[in-house]
Amino acid sequence: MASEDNPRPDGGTVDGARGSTGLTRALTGGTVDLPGLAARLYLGLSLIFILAPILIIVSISVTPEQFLTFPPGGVSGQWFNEVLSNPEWVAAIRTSLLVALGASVVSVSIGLPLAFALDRYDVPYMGVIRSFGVLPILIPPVIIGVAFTSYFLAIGLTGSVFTLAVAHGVFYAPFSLVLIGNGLEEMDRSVEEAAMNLGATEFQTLRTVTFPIIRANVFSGVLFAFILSLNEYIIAFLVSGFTVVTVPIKIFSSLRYSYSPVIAAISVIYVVLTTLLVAVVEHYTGGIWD
Amino acid sequence: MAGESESEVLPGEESSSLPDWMPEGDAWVAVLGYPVTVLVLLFAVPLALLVAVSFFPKPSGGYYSVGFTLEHYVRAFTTPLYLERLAFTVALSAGTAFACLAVGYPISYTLARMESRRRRQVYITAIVSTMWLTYIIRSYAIGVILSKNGVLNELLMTVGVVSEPVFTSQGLFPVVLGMTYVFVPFAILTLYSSINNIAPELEEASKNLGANRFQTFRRVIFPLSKRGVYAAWMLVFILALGAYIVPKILGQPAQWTLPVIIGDQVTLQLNVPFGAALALIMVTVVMAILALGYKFLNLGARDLSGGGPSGE
Amino acid sequence: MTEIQLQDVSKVYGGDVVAVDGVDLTVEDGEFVTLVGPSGCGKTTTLRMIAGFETPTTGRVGMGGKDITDLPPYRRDVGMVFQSFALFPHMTVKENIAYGLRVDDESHTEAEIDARVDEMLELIELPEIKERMPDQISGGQQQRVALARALALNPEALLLDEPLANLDERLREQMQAELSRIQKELGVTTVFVTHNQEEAMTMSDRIVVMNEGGFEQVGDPDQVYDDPASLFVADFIGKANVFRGRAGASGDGLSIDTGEVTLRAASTDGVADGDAVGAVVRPQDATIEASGVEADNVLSGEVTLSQRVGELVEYRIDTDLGEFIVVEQAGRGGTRFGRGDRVEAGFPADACRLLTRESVIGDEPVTAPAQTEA
Repeated sequence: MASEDNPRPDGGTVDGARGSTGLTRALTGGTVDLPGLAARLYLGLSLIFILAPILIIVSISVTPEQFLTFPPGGVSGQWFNEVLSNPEWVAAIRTSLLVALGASVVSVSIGLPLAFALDRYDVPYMGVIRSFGVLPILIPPVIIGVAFTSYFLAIGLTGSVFTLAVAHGVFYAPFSLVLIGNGLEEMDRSVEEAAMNLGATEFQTLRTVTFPIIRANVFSGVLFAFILSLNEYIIAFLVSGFTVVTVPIKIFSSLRYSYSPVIAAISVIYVVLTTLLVAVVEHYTGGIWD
Repeated sequence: MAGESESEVLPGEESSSLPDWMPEGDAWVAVLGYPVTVLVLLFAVPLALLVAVSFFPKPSGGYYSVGFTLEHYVRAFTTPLYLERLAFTVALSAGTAFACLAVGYPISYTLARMESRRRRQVYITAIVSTMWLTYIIRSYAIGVILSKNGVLNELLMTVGVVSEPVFTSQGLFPVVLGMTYVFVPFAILTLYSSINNIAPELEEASKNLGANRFQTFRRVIFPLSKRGVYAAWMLVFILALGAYIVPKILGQPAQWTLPVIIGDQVTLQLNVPFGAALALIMVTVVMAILALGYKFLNLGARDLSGGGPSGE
Repeated sequence: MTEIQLQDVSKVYGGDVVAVDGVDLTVEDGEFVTLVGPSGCGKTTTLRMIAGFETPTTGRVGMGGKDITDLPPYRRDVGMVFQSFALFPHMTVKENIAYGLRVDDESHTEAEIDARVDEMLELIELPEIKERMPDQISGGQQQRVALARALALNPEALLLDEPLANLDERLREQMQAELSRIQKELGVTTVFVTHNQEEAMTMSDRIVVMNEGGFEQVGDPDQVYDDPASLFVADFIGKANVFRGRAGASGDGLSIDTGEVTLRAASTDGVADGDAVGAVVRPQDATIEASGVEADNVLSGEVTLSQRVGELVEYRIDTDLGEFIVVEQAGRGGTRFGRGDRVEAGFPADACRLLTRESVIGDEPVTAPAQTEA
């Protein structure tokens, strides 16, 4: 029979017998914490649900066959070879990296001063400016893409790495704004006064005290924009006017033809790259979601 | 009053000051100036242009020519196709939002209440990682799983439940599954933030007073996480409204959403003004929903931008 | 000689919010002066004007004979300790203390800096935390590091903005002693801000009681306690029984008629017959017995509260005049009376001081209860 002190499998603090509902208690004699177990099972299943497709792609990418089958018969690096030796794919990767770099720079260059100004000064219409700053990501990307397209058309700029980097940078500026803004807000402002009290000028204070403290936030703003830009399709497609080919664009157009394992291979490369960058972001922001 | 003060403030040191104890700092104008200018030039202006373009006529040769016409709006509102697509888009997005809540809430809850910090961190990193991946790859993955000789069909046939492939790689089910799959991490993170902020002592108090787990959930936890639920729903809904890739890859024309139509108008039909008109109609709908959310549920930009570390 | 001078200093925000109203003060070299008062009285604003974080709307700030009013904070030779300690979270204790030396215009060698840091750590008696990060040390230790950092540059003056507010009681008492010791040892001119009047009384050479942007009274602790300038001061500093009424004559002395009771009182300058006055009776000047108290003034009533506070016992008695507090030394038996006991409390006429002003600021007269204006 159940002991009254049965601790929950998930670490809860109330004894299991009292916690489970009457029916389950009757069925299992109270020793099994059904809801807790069910919860963990659910979590496990959902994680499988979330990660499985990725894992499947990984396995496809190493298939030795000539076309897509699952489960694969073995392991082969042929598709990765195919991707990395194909000049078109390599060019696409390079373009994506360049655009992402440009986008992250633009994004932070907008977000940083904006966050500062909003945090430090009693700016009129602060709420409006802040909403304005967050606006870009709330609008469906396709609309942003169309807007930028006609804009660049109107001012005579054709699609290029530069215009795309700018478009992405503006689109992702809100992330920098929010991240850096949070960092500034959480900072104890009196450390700046302390620095000045000890003889540092405003500039010295910014350099030796303020920026080191928010450095992690700035960095994560940069990375956010970088990763998102790497993976972005629709704005890139609309703005580039077929002249700039990024990896997502190329993947998308390749999908027209077939579900070739080549796509799986490039996807895996992207997954690895993205995950690495995400791990770096997590490291620097130290559990931003907590 | 000025007298002979021996102030040694060096020129050039003051006006670039940032700290706020100089109330007479006009420096903020300079600091604020650059980003606001950029945002205005590169965001407000393009959007304004979009509005303008939606009223331009479309010449047969080019993208658009300057002028004024309501033909695009008329077409949008009178052709059943577009309104129907709008309705479908809204319905699909709403459905996705609910599905993401249903799938995501238990996950968020379990995560938020998980004892081991390390395990929690691992799970969250895993979930967050998938979020960053382009929708293309993720949709592709779902497509692969659901395709005729894909995993799911193979599995079911092997087990003997069905004798023929049931799932296809394109269709309504793939689209819904794909949308849910792609947006559920957003729901999870928003809900996680919110549930995490509910002090565990409240649950303990409830159980101490005699409520079982279900009652505790219903009467204590769920109500307290309501804000997060609303925010999560809103976030997924708005993101889903803008979805282009998932419906395009996993859907047949019957499942194409308005963004897909807009995209095609611009790139295939080269009809930028019409695309702009449709886009503006969409933006209006999104804004209206945001406004409703703000008004009735008190959601602000804060809640939607990742739930915020202080997210209540 | 480092004295600090405030000449007619005011701070007005937005045209009409007066935080500090035309104050004058001279802090002598080596003196420990405390600005004390309720929240919003302007004490922190005054301190920040000395530090340079606020610019006076009118008036001049001087230090060591020089006018520093227009100098930015980094050009003033003051060290400041903040309420939140404000230690640089990304630097070790050593780097925190060394910061002032590093950003100094004169360059110092590593050896010099290291020596100075060690000296400071000695002073605060914490040499072992040199390489730790701020989040690795306790609140009390952080506080001392903040102090060391402020003193590392050997400033002409030390400013402290409620530095002990974030510490628990026990620690606070310890730190009070520490601060006093260090200040005396270094002989640095010090201005201390707090809302805790006990703290002010314990540590200061002189106290400035502030209220609504102005100085109610400036004096040493004894003066402020025994000779308050207004009811505000009497009430704020130490515990007091305060009664309002009209002054009258009584024998060779004065009396105060509260409407309920008439008390015999001692004179204080400028009280005329018929003036609205407030009477201040310090709890420890009264004696309490079950009955038969012989004194110029006797009140009787029921004990509503009796509690032991350290070595003292405090009784609150419900009398015709309202609540009356009596404090006496705790004897062997602890509290002599409990709730509900009927007692008598007595005090001599010269323990009953009459004051004519509610507060010096605004020169508010005492508001006498209910009687028709003369």
